[in-house]
Amino acid sequence: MSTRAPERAPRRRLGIGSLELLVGGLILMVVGQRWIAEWFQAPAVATFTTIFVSIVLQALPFLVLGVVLSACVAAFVPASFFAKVLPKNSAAAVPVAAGAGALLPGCECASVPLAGGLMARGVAPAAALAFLLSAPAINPIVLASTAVAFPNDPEMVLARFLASLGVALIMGWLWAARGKGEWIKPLRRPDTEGLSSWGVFRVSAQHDLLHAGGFLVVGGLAAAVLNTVVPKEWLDSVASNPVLSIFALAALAVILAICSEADAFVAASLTQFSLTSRLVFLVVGPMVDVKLISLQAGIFGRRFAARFAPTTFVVAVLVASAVGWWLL
Amino acid sequence: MKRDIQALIVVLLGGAMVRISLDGTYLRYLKPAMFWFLLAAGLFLVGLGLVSAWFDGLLRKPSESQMVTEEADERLDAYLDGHPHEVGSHGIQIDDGHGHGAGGPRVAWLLLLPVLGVLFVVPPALGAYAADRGSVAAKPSDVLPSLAVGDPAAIPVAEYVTRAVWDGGRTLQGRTVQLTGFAVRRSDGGFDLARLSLTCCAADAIAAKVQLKNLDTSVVPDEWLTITGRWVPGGGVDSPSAVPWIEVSIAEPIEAPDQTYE
Repeated sequence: MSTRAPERAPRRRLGIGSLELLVGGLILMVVGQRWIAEWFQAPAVATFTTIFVSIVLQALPFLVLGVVLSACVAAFVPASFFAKVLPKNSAAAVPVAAGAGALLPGCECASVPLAGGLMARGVAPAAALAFLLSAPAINPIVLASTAVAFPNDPEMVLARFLASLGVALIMGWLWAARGKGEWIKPLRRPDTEGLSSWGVFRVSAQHDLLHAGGFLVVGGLAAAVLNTVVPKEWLDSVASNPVLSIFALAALAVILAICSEADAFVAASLTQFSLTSRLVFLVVGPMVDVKLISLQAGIFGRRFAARFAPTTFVVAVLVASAVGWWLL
Repeated sequence: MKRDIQALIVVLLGGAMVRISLDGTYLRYLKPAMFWFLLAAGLFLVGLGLVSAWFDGLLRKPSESQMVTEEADERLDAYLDGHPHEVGSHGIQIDDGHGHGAGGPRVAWLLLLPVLGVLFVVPPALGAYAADRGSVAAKPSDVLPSLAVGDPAAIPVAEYVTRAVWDGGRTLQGRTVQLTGFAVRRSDGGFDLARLSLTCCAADAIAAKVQLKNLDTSVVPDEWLTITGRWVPGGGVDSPSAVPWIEVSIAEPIEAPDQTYE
């Protein structure tokens, strides 16, 4: 251990480093807090800031849950476990993984880091992606809140379940058939050598949290801007057109980036729209929105997100419209 | 990003979450039901950050026996810095915080934004600006029960709106009601009384609005009021965008309540 001190020396020679800047900045903020707060008092700016802070705060507990589960997978679940429970053939593993999504009691912010953790543990990308898409939409909490939000339309719950599961299956199989591993950037995994299980847990959790958290902030900023500046009147002008209303609510789901546990209530409030278009809103929202695109780009890479998000959007709109036409 | 700063950011983020959940500020942004989630996640992050600071951050003492070996420690540096493939070849100079590829952990600096937001800016609960962007008269899911007892009957703004718009004011007729909300200026110069409700967080806020008729007190936008008055027909029925009327008998300015959302 005595060799550590000389090795660390080059770092200290830098003098004022990022740590000193950070601490200095924080001290300035403490001193100037009153003036800083005043800059944010214009109503539009205050509304933007409130919505940004809300989106991030609301998502963080679920992101932490996802990061903890993912770190548990990395630290305590041997890779052989997934080889045993999941079929070898990735096309056969897709339905198992998509169905397992029903077990994750969270929303979309938890499922992204967890899917990344599963892939790092050797789960076939097609299966992990099917899980990523199905988990936030078909778990019992989300289905129960959908039932509460649509007390007069119980078939909405069934329609949401079937459409979301259908999209997860199609995307999983599509990935198994056409996906290329090189689209996903190499997943960073902790080097477990020399670390205890708890050490692996701590290092994975911290890395995933900082990484995914940073991208959550990017997505939160984008969603807050769109939420504040896009006028809501455009919605009313397209509500009566059956085709336009589907695309309008699909786009709204991407823009608003609300939690899948809450989106049913927002959908229920959009009473000027048809049930089918609101089903599209509920199916697209947990799978594609600005916050999720940012998270996916962070964890799986931009090349992945640029292909996966638009394809999922198209498949989700088509499947949800078909299920809505059939059931609602 | 250096490991000592990583630990610091995790502690700051967790500390901010713990603080706003304990002092009640979180009610400006989230539903009360989120309290335990927020507090638990915040405490976890504080713990994680402190443990990290102990093992490889600010609190690390070079002389102390480490849980990791020297070599593994370097690989850890590389991993946490996002240079998994440069391990070994560059030694520890990879810790300089430069040259990260796209989407490297530098993005974690952005986590300071929500920390600064809740600790220093402390944005207010949503108000007139958000309510001005459209309101919804929620359609009842069932036949409306009779109005709560009391004279005046204190009811949520959203309930008044639903009763007035979707039931033609049937259950409001002949009753005096009391509503609490904030003032929103109408384009015709008059005022609405509005209240926002959340499902999960402020991003999904939905506004309910009533138009204040006969208001003789002078009010300013965003001012909180308790209104006592009676239902009068007007403002539209059977439409989610209707804004029903209320004839005001007393308009009393009040302090903003702790729970600004219904």
